[in-house]
Amino acid sequence: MSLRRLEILQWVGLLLGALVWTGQHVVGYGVTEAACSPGGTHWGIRTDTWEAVLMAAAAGCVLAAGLAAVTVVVRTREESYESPPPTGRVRFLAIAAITANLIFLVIILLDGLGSIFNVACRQG
Amino acid sequence: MSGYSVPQSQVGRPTAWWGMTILIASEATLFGTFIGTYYYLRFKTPTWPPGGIPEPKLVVPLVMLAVLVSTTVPMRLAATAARTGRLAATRLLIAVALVVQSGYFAYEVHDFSDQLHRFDITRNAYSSIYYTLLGADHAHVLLGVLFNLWLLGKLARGFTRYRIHAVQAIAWYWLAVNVLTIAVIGTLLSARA
Repeated sequence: MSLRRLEILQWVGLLLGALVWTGQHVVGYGVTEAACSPGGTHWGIRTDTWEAVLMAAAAGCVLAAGLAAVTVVVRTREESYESPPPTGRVRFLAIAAITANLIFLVIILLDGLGSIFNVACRQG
Repeated sequence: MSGYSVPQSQVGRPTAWWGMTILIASEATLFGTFIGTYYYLRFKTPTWPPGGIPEPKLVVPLVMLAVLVSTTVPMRLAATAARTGRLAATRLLIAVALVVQSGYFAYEVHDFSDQLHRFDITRNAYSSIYYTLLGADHAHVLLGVLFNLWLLGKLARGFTRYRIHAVQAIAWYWLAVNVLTIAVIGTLLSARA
């Protein structure tokens, strides 16, 4: 695999988790607002279904990002993260991406499960 | 003399810089959340600060902020000196910054405990977010002071590529902490508006 391709995989691994969690959270918030606001109640939005689908999609993306990061770490196993850039940087950021994706997976599951099991429309 | 040949060119930034960038990004997210919480609470509360808590002072925090922000200059110069292999200048500039930063931190700890005597952290939502923001900022200043102490200890034994990168990464950290402190103090002083 070329260095260019490894760099792309490394950036996908590092950034995708944060982006999909942001998407899940913002869209989930919007769906809940729409379902609970007076103007949106007649749409019959099922927040639990939306949240479950968002959680599953986001978790799938994070797992894919983690897989990309693992691929980079495996392909750069001959290098050290203290090697000169770009290979040292690519390996270092891929290791950071594996850690970040584990954290984002937990965040996404907690965000989704919390939204599903919590009562969505409640007077604040 | 440093006893170390400084590389004149390399492809891309060192790993230390990227590591520090990730740390700064995550800390910026943390402070963004705190500042968002502050304004969320503020816009839900008719009087701010609530519960008879006095408005924050204006002059002293701004003067102390200027003192801390001024250390960006010696830290940046230290990073430049390290890149060009000037060990004595690097040590001196970091030491100057460290003295000012330690003085700032000592005053802020004293002021923090003094404020706790006037209104404690559990009094209401304002006091909670006020001390959370301020305490998190001070913790980052303390971490920077510890970074500089560690760096001076390492530089006592001369330059290596690792230490040069550490100087650059820590100068980058201080720039971020100073920007975060401006955001935090600006947020807290906005209670006067």
